[in-house]
Parts: sequence; C-alpha cells; structure tokens
Amino acid sequence: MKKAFIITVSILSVVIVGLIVALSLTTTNLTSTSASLESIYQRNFYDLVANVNNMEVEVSKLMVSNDSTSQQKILSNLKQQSSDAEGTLSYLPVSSDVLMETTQFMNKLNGYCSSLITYKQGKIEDEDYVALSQVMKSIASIKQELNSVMEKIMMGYRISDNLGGQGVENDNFSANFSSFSNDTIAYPSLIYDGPFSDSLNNKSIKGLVGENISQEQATLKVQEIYGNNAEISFKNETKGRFETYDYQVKLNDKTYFVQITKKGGFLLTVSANVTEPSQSNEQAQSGTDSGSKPSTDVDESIKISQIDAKTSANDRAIDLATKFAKERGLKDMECVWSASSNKTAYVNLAPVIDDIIMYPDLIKVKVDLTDETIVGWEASSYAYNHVEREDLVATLSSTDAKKKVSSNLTIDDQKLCVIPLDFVGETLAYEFSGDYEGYKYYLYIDAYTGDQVRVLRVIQTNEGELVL
Amino acid sequence: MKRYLLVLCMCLLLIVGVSFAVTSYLLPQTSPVVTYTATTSENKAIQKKLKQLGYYKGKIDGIIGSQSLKAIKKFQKDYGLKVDGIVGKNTAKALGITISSSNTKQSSSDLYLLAKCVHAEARGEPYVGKVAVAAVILNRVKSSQFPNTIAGVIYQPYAFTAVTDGQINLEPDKSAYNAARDAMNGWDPTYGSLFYYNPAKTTSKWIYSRQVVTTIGDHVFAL
Repeated sequence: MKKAFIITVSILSVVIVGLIVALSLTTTNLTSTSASLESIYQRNFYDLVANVNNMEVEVSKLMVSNDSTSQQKILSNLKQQSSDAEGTLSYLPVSSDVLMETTQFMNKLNGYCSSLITYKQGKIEDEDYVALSQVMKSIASIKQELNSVMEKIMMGYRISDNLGGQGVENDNFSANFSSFSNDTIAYPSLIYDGPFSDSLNNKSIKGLVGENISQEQATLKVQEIYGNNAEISFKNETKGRFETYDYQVKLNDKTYFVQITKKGGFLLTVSANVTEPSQSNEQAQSGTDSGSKPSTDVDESIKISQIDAKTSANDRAIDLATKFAKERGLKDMECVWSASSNKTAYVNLAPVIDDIIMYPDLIKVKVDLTDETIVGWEASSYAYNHVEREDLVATLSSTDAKKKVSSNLTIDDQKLCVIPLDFVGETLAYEFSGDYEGYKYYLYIDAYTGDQVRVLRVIQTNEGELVL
Repeated sequence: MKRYLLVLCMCLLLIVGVSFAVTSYLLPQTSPVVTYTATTSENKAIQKKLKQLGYYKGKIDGIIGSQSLKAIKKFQKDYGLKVDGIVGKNTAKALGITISSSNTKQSSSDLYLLAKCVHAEARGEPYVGKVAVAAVILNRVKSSQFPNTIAGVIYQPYAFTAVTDGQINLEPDKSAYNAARDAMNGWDPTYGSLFYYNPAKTTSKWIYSRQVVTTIGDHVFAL
C-alpha cells in the first residue's frame, strides 16, 4: 500500500511539473504574441500620424506653388499619402462605423488628386484652390485629434489592453476616435471625374418605364414566369436603389428568390442555388491524370467527348437564356459572353441593334444544366441604362480606328459597340479583340475621338476566364 | 490497487490531454495549395527534354501521367530542386525550356476569401441570404467609406464577428462558393446595402440608425 502511495505521489508530481512547464510555455507564448500585436498596432498608428502630417505639408505646398510640373509632383505625393492613410486607417482596431467618414475623405482625396493629374495635367484652377483650402482644414483637424491619442501612447497607453470591441460606448481605443465621426471634423465635398466623386451619388434609373404596379400585379407577373404549379409567396418590399416586390418561389425542389420592380413591373433578379452535382460526376471531370491507365488514347477520347459535351451544353444554355429573355419581352438580346463550369453556365446577354452591341444594358443569366432551368437573372445594368439610342454613327472609319491599335496586338476580330465610360456616360466604340504573347486582349477605340477608352485582358483562373 | 490504477489512468489521460493541447497550440495551420498547369505542347517539350536526359521512357504525348511525374520528380531530386512533380519556373529553367506565363492559372484568392466569410457569417441562411452577405462585402469594397480590397473589408477590425471569433477559418461549403461567385458576377439582392445585422443578436444601437433596405432570412440589410 505504501509503495502504491509513493508511486502515485511521484507520478502526480511529474504531472504537476509537466503542467507547470506547459503553462509557462503557453504564457511566454501569449506574452510575446501580445507584445508583437501591440507593436503592430503602434507601428500602424505612427504610420497614420506620419501620413497625415505629410499630407498637411503637401497640401500647404500646393497652395503656394504656381508651376504645373511641380504641382503635378506634389499632387502625386499627396495622392500616395492619402492612399497610404486609407490603408493605415483600416488597420486601426477601431470599429468601422467610427472611421467611415475619414476613410471616405482619404479615398475621395486620392481620387481628386488623380483627376487633377489625369485630366488637368496638374494645373490647379481657382475652384480647386477653394476645395484644397477646405481639405487643408480637415487634415489639420484630423492631425489634432491624432496628436491627443499620440500623447496618451507616449504616456504608456497600450492599444492592445484597451480593445473593448465594437462601438464607442465603452471607454476603449475606439472612443479616442469618436470625434472622427461627429461634427468636430468638417469633411469637404469634392467633385471630380473619378471614383468616389460626390457627383456619382445620384445615379439615375433610365431603363425602367411605365406606371408603378401594385403587389397583386407583381404576383401575376411571377405567376406568368413560373406557372400555376409553383408555390409563390410574397416576402418583402425592398427600398434600395430600386424599389421592388420580393417573392420566394418553390418549384421542383428549387427555391427561387425573385424581385419585380415597382416601376414598370420589370424582372430585376432571380437567384437560386444550382443542383449539387453527384459525386461520380465530379470524379469524371477531375480524372484527367492518365497515369494509372495503360493507354493514353482512351483518355484523349474522353477529353474530346467532354469538350464536345461542354460546347453543346454551352449552346443549350445560350438558347435557354435568350428564350427566357424573349419571354420577358426583351427581343434583341444576344449572347455576348458565356462560360460553363461543372453543371452551371453563365450567359451574358446584351441588346444587339443594327450590329451594334449595347454593353451598358448587360443582363447576366445563370443556367443550371442539370435540369435546364434559369437559376440566375441579374438585370440591374439594363434597368439603369437601357434607352433607345439614336444617331449611332461613327465619325471615325474602322480603318482609321485600326490604325490607333498598338501594332503589338494581332487583331482577330472587330465589332462596333456602345460601352459605358469609366464613371459617367457611354460612347460608341470599336472593339478589337486580339492576341499578344499568348494573352488575349480587348481594346476599345472611341468611334468619335479615336481615343483608346479601355483595354481589357483575359486572365485564365481556375474558376474560368476572368476579364480585367 | 484499484485506486492506484484509477489514479494512474487519470494521470495518463491528463498527460495525453495536456500534450495534445500544447501541440495543437504550437502546430501551424495548413494552407491551401495553388495549382499550376501547363499546356499540351509544353508538356510535350518537358517529356522530350526528360527523354533526352534519360529520365523518361514513355510516349511523348503531352499528358503528364504517373510515368512523367516520376521522371520529373527524379529530375528534381538529382538537380537539387524542390521535389513536387510540378514543372514550375525553376524546374523549367533547369530543363532548359521556357514556360509562357499565360498558362499560370491565377488562384482565385478573392473568391476563396469571400466564400469563407459567407460560410462563417451566413451558413444557416437561405441561398439568397448568402449571396446578399457576399454582395454587402463587395459593396463595401466599392464604397469610399470602407477599405478598397476584399481582404481589407473582411479583415477590418470588428467589421465581421466571424473574423473576431475565428469562425472565418472554417472551410466553406459548395453553396458558399456558389453564392460568392454569383455576387462577384454582379448579383446583389440588397441593391447597394453596406450593412446587415441580425436584430435578435445585435448589441449595437448605432446600426439601427441606418436606412433599412430589405430583410432576407434572419438578416436585415441596410444602407
């Protein structure tokens, strides 16, 4: 009995020693993790302070410079600093609602500088000086607020000890920034040709015509699409950029989410999950390694039959999508791009009128190839942009447009189209598709001015083709 | 004696438990693999070169099967390269062939990240609710008030509870991927919403000040 007792005690003490070692290891680990976290937070905070200080200096230099070359240089510095400040702001352990306005200010300032550099070659006009002096005031107030936090940190305040979570209700690190979102700092409104400009806030809806319809009328529209066998239930009224009636439709094991616009009763959205492919199906598709099989010819034939099946499936999807569009009263829609993976096909439709592709009115359709149903319909671009376009006559001939294309590109095809411009409006353009060093490109030449308005490159991803 | 055995068993259990906890704490997580594929003509060039060097004895058919793979691995081993059976930049260089960069498939890191966030935040929601969550993330990327990348938006401190509590690291399921892909292709059933919350769970008073757009499943979407 005594022996057993001794053994038990010795084992227990070994365990206790082991536990202590494990615990101290963990604690050391935690301490170093917390220290490195704190240093990341602090480094980031100091970076932010430096960015804001530099911004103030650059803006003030801009106010006293008169020569456009140096102004351009200062503007690009300012652009860089505001872009960096946007980054450092997003790393602050402060909840996003507190920082939204300041982040917006940094993004807008970045866009504003870009537009001054791109469109005005750095030449600053009187109205810009007014805006810039407001920018300077905002930066000065941000700097002041940051300085008070910095004083705290210099007195030994640790950011990682004060992470109270979301909101500024508690006395946490976020609370130090409460002045960023109340009216202490005035943020100027900046109007320019670029992203985030205040002029882009009210995008008009041109494509929806007709009277507002009632919920009963919308329900009839849904019935028209899905027939009498479908179980249709009204879910909600959505009041976003579009006002819609939202429905849930159950038909043949599928649940569809359907949105009909109040104005004009237009089908805006269909969204449903695809039928999950069965296990054997997936194996057939991923089984391209011929290693374990004696003859490689067999594999080749499988590959070819898969490609054939894929092409015909794609054609089938395009037929289904255009038919669905026609049934919705959209007659001139043609497929401008399609891709399929597994058992899902994406088809982009656009109106083609007098051989001109109307890219701004794009409708995206998703087809489930297992049961040949439309599981996705996204027509917001059409609803925003569709109008009867008149006088679409190119002033530049296609031969002249071709001369504007870089000689590096081997041109395969050319088309006339309307494309949306970067921020506002649209233009008639020649689309040239071609090849350079194995990459496929799309190039757009304005059919009035001859400017190259856009260049896109096709990138192969493991999810299919991506156009950038 | 029985008691002694019991104590011993408990001690053993404790030791196993503690060591398991410590190792799982110290071991790094595995990361996803980025795949690389070459074209048939490039595969043929690889096979031809390997045949010349005496590593490969099969047909030059442009298909990398087990025989070719074995040859590539042996070659990599002999030349002090990383033995992974993949002809990347370094192996191609050692073989004396060039591989056009256009065939480097991009891994869809954005899609993966988006799917992870959708899965963590909305796995109990109807399909369209998942698309909506993905759309909110993408709306934030486009908005001037939030960071300008998908990673920036998802990992912004306190932006998503799933990031704060680590659920973001769960592996996304197929429907999360489908929803993420739909949102990236432009589907947005919330039409521009920047916020969503579960009214039954949220503690933030501030969020109620936002203009409500719609309700999908358990989530309220707002501008």
